[in-house]
Amino acid sequence: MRGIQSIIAVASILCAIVGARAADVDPDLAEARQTIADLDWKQTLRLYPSIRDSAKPGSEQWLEATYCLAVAWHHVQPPDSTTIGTARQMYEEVIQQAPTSRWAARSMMNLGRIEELRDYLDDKIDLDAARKHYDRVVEAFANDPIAGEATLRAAATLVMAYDAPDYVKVKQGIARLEAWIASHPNEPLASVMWQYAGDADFRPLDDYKNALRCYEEVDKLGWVDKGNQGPWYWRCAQLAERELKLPDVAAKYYTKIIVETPNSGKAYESIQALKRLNKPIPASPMFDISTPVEPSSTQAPSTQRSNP
Amino acid sequence: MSDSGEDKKGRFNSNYLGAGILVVAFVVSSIVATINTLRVESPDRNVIRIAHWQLEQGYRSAMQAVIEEYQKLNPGVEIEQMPVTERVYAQWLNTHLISGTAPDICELGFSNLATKDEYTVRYFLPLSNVSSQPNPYNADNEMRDVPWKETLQDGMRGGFREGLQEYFGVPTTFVSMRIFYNKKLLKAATGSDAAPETFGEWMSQCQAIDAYGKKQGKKILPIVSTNTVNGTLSVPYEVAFTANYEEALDLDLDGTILPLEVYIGYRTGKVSLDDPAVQAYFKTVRAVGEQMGRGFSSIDRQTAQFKFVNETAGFLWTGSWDASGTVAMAAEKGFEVGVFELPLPGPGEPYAEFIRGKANEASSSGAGSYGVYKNSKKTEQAIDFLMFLTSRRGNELLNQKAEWPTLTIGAKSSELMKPFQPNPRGYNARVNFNYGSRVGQVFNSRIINYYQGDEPFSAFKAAYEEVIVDPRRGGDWAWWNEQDQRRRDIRNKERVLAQDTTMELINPGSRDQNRYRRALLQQVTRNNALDFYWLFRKHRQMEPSEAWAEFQPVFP
Repeated sequence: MRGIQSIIAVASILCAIVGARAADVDPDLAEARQTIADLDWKQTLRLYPSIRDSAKPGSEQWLEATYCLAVAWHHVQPPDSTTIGTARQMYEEVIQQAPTSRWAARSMMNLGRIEELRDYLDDKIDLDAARKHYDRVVEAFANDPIAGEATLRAAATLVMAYDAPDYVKVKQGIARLEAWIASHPNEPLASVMWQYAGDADFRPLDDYKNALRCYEEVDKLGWVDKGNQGPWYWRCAQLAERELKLPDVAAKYYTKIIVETPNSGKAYESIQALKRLNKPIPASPMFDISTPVEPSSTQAPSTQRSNP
Repeated sequence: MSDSGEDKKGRFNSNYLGAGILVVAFVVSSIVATINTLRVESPDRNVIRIAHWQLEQGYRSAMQAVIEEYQKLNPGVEIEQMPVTERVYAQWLNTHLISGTAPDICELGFSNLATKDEYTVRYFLPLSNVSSQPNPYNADNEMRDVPWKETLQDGMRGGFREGLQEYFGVPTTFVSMRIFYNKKLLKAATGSDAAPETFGEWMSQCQAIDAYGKKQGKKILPIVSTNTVNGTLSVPYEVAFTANYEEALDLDLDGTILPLEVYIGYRTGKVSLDDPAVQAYFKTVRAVGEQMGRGFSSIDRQTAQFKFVNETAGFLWTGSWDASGTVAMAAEKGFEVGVFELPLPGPGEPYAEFIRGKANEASSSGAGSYGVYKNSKKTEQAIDFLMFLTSRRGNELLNQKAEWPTLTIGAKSSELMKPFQPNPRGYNARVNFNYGSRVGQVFNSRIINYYQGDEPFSAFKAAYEEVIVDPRRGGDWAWWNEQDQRRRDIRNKERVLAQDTTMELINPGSRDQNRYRRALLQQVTRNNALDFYWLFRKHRQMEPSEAWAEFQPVFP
């Protein structure tokens, strides 16, 4: 009896040790992962090959190692056709081995990135080829959040065509974003999409009405680059006041500049604008305005800008 | 005759002296290093080290005062400051960062390892998450629930790394430029020691000081500057005289006039060097230059300060960091220093009709930024100290004692620093004709010649008008270069996005979604710099592929 107890005790200890080791990440793997966190691609290329070689092709560890090596080849400096070509080949391997995995989805996206960005001197940008990769992600991973990102990227390849004078592709890109948002009301990138669409309406289309409409949607959802939205607030105010003659909308954005982005450099001018439009001025500690200032009832709004 | 062998034996061999000193020095150094290491590493002690290069008068004692306050609130924690001269700060910090012995908190600057994105991410802790939390040391004021970064007047911009989309530093102060003046000298020259209200008054005072110096048989320069005139001094006038162009030139309606937009305006005839407002601007800065003497650009910072405190200059253009030292040196010399902002032409004075208003300082970024060493064993404590340092109470204490401008909202400045607090009132758009480094080489050298009185404006204008339309050096090259820089920035951001997405794949759910969305937005809205091609076609009526055919893009 005592012998059996001893065997069980020893076995338990061994199991605990083995279990503990399994629960911990392999130190080599942990070290390799740290190189990604440190953006140290050369070290990634040094540490991941042995991990890949020791893993079974298609296994989670193999996918991670192959994908990380592909990313490292994609971004290691100096880049050339060989480094980028190796990255491309390794992304394809990941897709081939596990076509429905999260690794494959991101590999497809990255193949699009390779086509879209100029990586080395003789590299050519191919926006249509990039879009094909993004579309592949949208089709294969339609219910995954990455589909939204792929849609944004695909729309951007259309906008970046800047196909004057009719801008057919630019318009297609904007329409594609709006259609996606309409059919995906919970899209996490909706605010980014509206802002991008608004920018494209503003430039190159000079479609100020639609630009402001898109920015209003961003404003409802919340600005993603919070704290740096001052220039967009100013643009909205200018479009509303100067181009579209919407003083209430202009006043809303001037007020936001004073309250939300007082360091944008435009808060003082926004106060002047509210006075000009005969609109209330919000409280602002920066300007020693402790309580909101109501407009004068006798003063008519003016669109004339005066010099102080 | 004595025995030479015995002689040698009795004589001290000086060769051993050097070796002996070396041995003693080595032993003493080892003991000191060991004691210091044990002191810092001792498990019984909780020591946080903070390194900086601020050796200006008063800063170290100010920092010590904050440390003592903090230690009272946190018994058991010891903060040690390590002031290092800026001449060796970079090498010193590099050595410690690489060897893993860097202080827990380091002032960020000088060293590439503390300033370049690819190294910062390796050696310093990202602070975005913690900067979004309230600062507990503001619990006693109305900012108790406000995110830490929003409690600083610059929104912590001084610690933000655009390329990494992260806060890596916590700024602690502001810097601003002002005119200092010798009240005694001004009173002797004009009968009053009041600061001028207008540009015209200032120039009259300068002339009076010049005349007073001649009467006294002394060479007194009315104005000296520790900083380049074509920059910190000219920009406020550039804004004042040219902000009105914003409506015509700001094509993207972002509220500023980019140098590219100025170039487009120049090429399309919307702005020129002959415009009366532009002429007024250059002539105003030239008027300042006239009061600084011929060859003023050769006067360096030390010389300018020396002339001012030795009463051979009436006005000194310099920054808040020099205030405390300058005032103290002036007091030793027996005069009081006054401070004012650059004045603008007042009603009835020449060029007043072109003035839109003052340049504002609302978008100034904080300075004196500190980061937390990634390999520190006490990162939480280090962040806690930085929170105290930038709480209303801590920041007021630091900057009041150091005589620097405060950064935290509601923190009161010392009397001396009140005129240095950034002024949010005024404008920010300006017409800067200096577009691109190649144009800049011509612009900067020739405009200084004009400001110094070495060349007429026509010489500067001819040189500028030649270079700006030069296909290889001018605005078209600068346009190409800007798009190439933008393309590179976008490509570099791709690396940060790749890191983010890879870490998310390795450890699903670990990604900071907001950070990723922000980086994605910033990248995608820049359209791979292809909008530069579209703009070029639209405004230059030429194919960029022809105009830019000879330029080689840069790849890292």
